[in-house]
Amino acid sequence: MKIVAITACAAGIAHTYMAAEAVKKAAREAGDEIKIEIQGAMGIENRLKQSDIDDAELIIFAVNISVRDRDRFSDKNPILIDPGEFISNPNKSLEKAKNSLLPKHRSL
Amino acid sequence: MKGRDIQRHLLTGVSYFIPFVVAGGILIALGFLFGGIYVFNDTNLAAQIFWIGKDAFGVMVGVLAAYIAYSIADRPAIAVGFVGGMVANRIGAGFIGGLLAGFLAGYVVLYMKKINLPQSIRSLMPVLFIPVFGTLIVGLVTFYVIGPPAAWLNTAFANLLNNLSVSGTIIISLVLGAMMAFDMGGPVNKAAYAFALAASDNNNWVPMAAVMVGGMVPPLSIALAMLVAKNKFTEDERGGLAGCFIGAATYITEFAIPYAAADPLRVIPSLMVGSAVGSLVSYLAGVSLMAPHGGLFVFALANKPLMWILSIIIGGVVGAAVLVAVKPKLSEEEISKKGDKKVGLDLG
Repeated sequence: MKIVAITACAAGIAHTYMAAEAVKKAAREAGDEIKIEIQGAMGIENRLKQSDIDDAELIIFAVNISVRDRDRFSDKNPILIDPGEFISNPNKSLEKAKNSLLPKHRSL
Repeated sequence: MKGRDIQRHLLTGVSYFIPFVVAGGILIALGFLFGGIYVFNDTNLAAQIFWIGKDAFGVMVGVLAAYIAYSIADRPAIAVGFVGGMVANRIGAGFIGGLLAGFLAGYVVLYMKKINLPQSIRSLMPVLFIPVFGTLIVGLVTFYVIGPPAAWLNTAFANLLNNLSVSGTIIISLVLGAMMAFDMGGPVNKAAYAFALAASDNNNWVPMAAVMVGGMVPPLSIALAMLVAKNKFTEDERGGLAGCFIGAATYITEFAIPYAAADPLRVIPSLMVGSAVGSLVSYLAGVSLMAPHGGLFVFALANKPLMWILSIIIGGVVGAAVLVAVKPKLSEEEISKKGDKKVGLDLG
């Protein structure tokens, strides 16, 4: 599965980066293709290309603050998960994100 | 609007607000350090440092409101929120008034964005209508409606904190410390931090000292526990020893998270006890710290630097003692087992 994710937290120095690690780890273990944009205290690192966003089958926002440049995702359906939760249970959280997509797929 | 949304908007505002508080708090303290307690009467370099810090403080409530509004209604809400926050600041409604002005600005702009204008004048919305009418509405409502009760609350809050009884002091410091350790950088931790920020906005920096102790104790407790009870931690975990000391010194509580995630029911309460005790000692000793971030690097800015460091050490030792007492011994096998949950920090 092609996944893109954004991580961010209030201080932008620790949770943000740990959540990025957690997402990367979970996605690798599940054999997914993953690209992660980090919105930390130093600004946006590893900014996603619009083509990455458009091609993604799953968009994860592991954030507890608002995502910067939200309009890039205007017609998308990002799944919001708390970064703390992602850090504690990376695999379970990824699973949960994938499951939240299911209803939409069924309706197609 | 759900509770979770409100929390997200608030945290967004706080995340942009923190650097201003850090700049203002530390520069003002440095001004005092170099220029003495009447530095504001001088025109020397120390006075300039002091006034630059004051300028950072002067806009911080505006920034808080601006980015709460931004979180709600995106770019066009920044100016409206900023001005609303400055109005709140001017009438003494402080942190609380700024916060309310920010939410008001966000929802006013969000509503204005939805108004359907004819195509020909649609572009006037973001360049004219929102800045002028949005700001006017938010400014007026902040001044007449939000401001007075918020200013009253702000003063009441300041008076309450400045006239705390001993038992009140004990309760507040224990709760603040425990909250700092509860989720280590998460929303509960940030709520305690916001409390200290609100107090500092009223020129009371005692809660800030206590809260920073509460944030530095968890990684320190874990580091100390790993030193004295090697057989209660896995090899993986002990690999993070240096990181935990760095986390304690730099006030990055998050270094403790992997340990808490691996064994939450034992680790989190132990750390909460340590942080609560540390904050209590700092608060009771009357330590005040005019720096909202920085950890050990800002110890010289505390009014009682040694007492402040002592309270960190006491908290760390207590937390470590509880941790060692409640954690079970691990077998050789478990110690060398690679953790599957551990998510490390690549900062150290």
